[in-house]
Amino acid sequence: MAGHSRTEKRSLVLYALLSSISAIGAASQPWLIGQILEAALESGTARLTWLVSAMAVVIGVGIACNVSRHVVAERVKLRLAADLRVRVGAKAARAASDVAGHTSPAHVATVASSDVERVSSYPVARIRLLSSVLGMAVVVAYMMTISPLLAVLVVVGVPAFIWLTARIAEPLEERQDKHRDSLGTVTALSADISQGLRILRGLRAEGVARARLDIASRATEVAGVRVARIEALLLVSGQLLPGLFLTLLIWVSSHLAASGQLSAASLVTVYAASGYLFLPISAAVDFLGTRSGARVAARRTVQVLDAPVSGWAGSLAPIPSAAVLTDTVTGIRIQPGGLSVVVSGEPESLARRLTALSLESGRLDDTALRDFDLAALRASLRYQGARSTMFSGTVRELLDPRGSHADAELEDVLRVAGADDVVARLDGGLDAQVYADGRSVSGGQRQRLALARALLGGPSYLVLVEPTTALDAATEVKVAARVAEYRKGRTTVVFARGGAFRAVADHQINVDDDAAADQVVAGGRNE
Amino acid sequence: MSEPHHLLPIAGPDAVRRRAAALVRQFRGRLVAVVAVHAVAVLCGLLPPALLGLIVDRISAGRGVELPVVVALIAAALVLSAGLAFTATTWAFALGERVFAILRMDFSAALLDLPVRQVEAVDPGDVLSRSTSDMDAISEIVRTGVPETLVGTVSVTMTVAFAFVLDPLVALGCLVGTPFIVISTRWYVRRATTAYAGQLSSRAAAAGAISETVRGHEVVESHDLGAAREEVVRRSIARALDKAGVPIWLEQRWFPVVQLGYNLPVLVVLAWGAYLVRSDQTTIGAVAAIALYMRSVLTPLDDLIYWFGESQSATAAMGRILGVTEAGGDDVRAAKTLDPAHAVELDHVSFAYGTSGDALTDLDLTVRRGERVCVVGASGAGKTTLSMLLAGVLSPRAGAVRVSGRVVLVAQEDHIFHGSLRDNLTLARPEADDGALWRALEHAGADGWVRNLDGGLNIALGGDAHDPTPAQARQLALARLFLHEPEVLLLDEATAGLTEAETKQFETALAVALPGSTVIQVAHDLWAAELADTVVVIDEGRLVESGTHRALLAQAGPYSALHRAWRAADEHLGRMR
Repeated sequence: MAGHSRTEKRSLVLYALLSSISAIGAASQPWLIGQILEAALESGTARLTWLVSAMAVVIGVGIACNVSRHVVAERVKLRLAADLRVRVGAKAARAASDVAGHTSPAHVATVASSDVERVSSYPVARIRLLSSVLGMAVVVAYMMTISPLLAVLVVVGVPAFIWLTARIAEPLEERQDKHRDSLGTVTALSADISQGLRILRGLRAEGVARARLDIASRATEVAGVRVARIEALLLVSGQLLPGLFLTLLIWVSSHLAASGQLSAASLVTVYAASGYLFLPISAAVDFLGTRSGARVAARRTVQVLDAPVSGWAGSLAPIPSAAVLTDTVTGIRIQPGGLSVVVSGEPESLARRLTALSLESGRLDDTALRDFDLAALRASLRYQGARSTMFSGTVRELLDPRGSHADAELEDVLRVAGADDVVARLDGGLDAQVYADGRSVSGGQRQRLALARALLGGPSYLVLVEPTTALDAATEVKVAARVAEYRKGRTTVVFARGGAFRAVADHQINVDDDAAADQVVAGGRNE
Repeated sequence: MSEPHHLLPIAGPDAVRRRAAALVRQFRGRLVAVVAVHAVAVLCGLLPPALLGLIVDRISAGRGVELPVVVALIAAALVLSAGLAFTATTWAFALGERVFAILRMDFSAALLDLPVRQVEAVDPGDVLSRSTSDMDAISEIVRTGVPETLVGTVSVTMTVAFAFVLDPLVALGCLVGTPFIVISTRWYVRRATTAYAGQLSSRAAAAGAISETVRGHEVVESHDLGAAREEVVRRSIARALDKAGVPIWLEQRWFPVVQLGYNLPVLVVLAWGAYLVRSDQTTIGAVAAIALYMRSVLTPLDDLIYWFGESQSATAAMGRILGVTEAGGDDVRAAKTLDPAHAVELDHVSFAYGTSGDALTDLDLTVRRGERVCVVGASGAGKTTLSMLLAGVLSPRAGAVRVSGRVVLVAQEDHIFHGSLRDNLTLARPEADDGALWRALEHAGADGWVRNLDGGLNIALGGDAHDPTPAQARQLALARLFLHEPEVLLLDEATAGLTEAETKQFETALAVALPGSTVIQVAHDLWAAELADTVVVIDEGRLVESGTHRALLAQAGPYSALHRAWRAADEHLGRMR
């Protein structure tokens, strides 16, 4: 996922610069420590004062650089994550069905909430590694002035340790993957217990649910411990490897010091500096961890971004407002301008064909639906399925997501759908907040709000699947009559098993799903 | 008609502390082991700087050093320290995983054990967010934070303590940073909790807007909402970006001070140490060792401060998780003195919602074991109130409700559980074989579409594989009932959303598949009444009539009026019988 914008590049360069300064500062501290200790043994205060002040300045500049680079890094990460989120969001909005078909809502939720963050922490981690290598170069430089032999040891030793660390970290990615998967199962199961609690209690299935969760929970724990073991190993090897290297350094430098080739205080410098060698190694550990997390996350993100989009070739417009709507599979014909009730064993698939939501789609007169311009077609041919899916927001946004209708129109369709009392009861009326999972409104209320949404704007053709199943009989009859009245003159198709819509229908069509398409019984007028 | 949804309690900081203390007691042995092993590891790690100090002193004084011995000691100390640290860290991480698993199981167990009354009244959204986002919020602190805090505390304490042992005078310089760290961290923590909460919730809102769009893909496509949803998503992301600026602002102020607190000790130890060396109050080796110690605590100190900040917001999440365990209370229902031949007895039961008049008045009803009762009445007559009393969700204002065993209430609510279709069914009877599962599906009228699925019983439900329609979900719920064979079954409009044919099939299957169960049905369709042993008519909260369908029809009372109206309406609607 390369390719950052100009601003991000500039920020990353700034981050690299600040990191380098603070790395150089931090790497020069051991030298100053050695010098201060040496000066402490001498007489005279001038050199000591100068060195302590220099150390104070180095610390001060280091803090300033550290804080600013942290702020820059956080901002970069936030912006990158936001950009990526926008891309995921745009894809999800523009090709919702394709994304849903290719992945799952839960997958997209994880991508949008955590995966994008992991991906966007990668560029910064890479620079952090590079800047710590720069710091190492500083250490090598003054090691060179102390003893070339020591410098060679550092140059050879540190990359060797980074390589070793990478080998240790290798299984981490796979283990993290497994852990995430099994954590996903646990989360799904415990969400199940919350959402299906009444059902579980009713069935006395508490034990079964608990046992299933327990199994998944144990598997997650085992996977978690496997990840932790590698992490602990990385943590410790980050100390042990430099520690052993340090022993070697001490041995060599102590020899040098004992034979007078090296001052005793330089010994401390060597020690403190080799402590600094921990940093590139721990930065490498961090980097490898971030990289493996980012890789997994990037794969998951790409899965959403690269979900294949089904094409739409048609461009015919405008849409005829009073054509016969035909299904090519069953052969049923919907006469224009009236309310038709269709009884079918598979209402969803038939309704989706009639509204060009599936590949095998119907026709308007002699023109295949897929030959029309998509936007124009969606504006005049609308489908409302049996699932009354809603989006979080105010009632107004729910009914009119584009914000293109006046309140009077909204109130009109609410009345027709029998939902005026639903809104009246909500605190805030049209501005009341409702939530996607519909926990703030009941099933019947959701269904009526969804019906109102389908009616708004008066599309020329409207296909409804079981729009009133959650309503009581009296309300159902009332709503059916109002819908028929409101839709007069425009084509309305209702898939309904109950009688309420049949009572007010102009046509009734029974589709015999088991028989061949040509055995359709075209219903007469029902009066 | 139901009581308004309410939120489960939230446990206070005291309860969170008590739970933490209980966990500490439970794992005292392991904790002691981790701390002890890590303490030894830290001690070993403290040796090299001390030995180095020794070497520096000897060389500075022009005396010789047994180099091979000292270097071997240093190497041994380092290897030992690393080995022990690995052991302690692995144990600590494993302990974190264990504790998190326990908390998760405790939460779900408490949820499953909630009294019926609570189960029916809680807000499902509240429970869901506790089991997902709050669990996530404590996951990191329990799994990583607690182990690192444990290890970090041991490291910092031991190192500073050892510095004082080495030379108390020089070690005084170690404390100079403490006020900076304490004061600035308190300032930060007081503000950070709300700042991070705002950041998290706005980020969750943005992710929610995206996944909602995918979940509602059908509506997005059919209502052509692509552009509108994209706008919503963009706005929520922009809001999240705004909110995320606040914590950064806080950190920008806090970090400089706290880092000063970290770094000042090294500088002060050196300067103050130099003064002490010159006035012969200490050796250069001690100063060198303590300065090196101060550098070595930087990382664990940083971890400690980080987790301290994190623990503030985790405490809030923990309170919400523990709250579920506090939602106790008993199921108040007299199960005694029930006539063994009876499944249900209502003894002069009255009930009122709040201060309004009685919704049910002086209701007397006895249901024999194995009897099929259908409760009918106009909308608002009190049918649902009656079913909630029977289920134990509501308690009577006066009188007594006695039920043998637990009542299984099936209302108009379905949930597809994670896993296969088989998993969804075997919830009701884990040991059921394929034959039993297919029979149950058949009774529920679902065998047809299930047979047509790729994978049959093993198909995964919910996700990408097969998303059942609402009617299919309803049928699965009914199939579960047939598997469960409940003692007393309470159906409240359980067949809503099914076709006439499917409803009739279910009603017939009910008699065949559950011969031993007592069934009480609440219905506005009178189909069920025709098949019931006894029909009970409720009007304005009173039991006005009861008897068999035929007997009541012959009586020309309220039932026959109701039945006539239903027939007429039905014929008017043009139903074909």
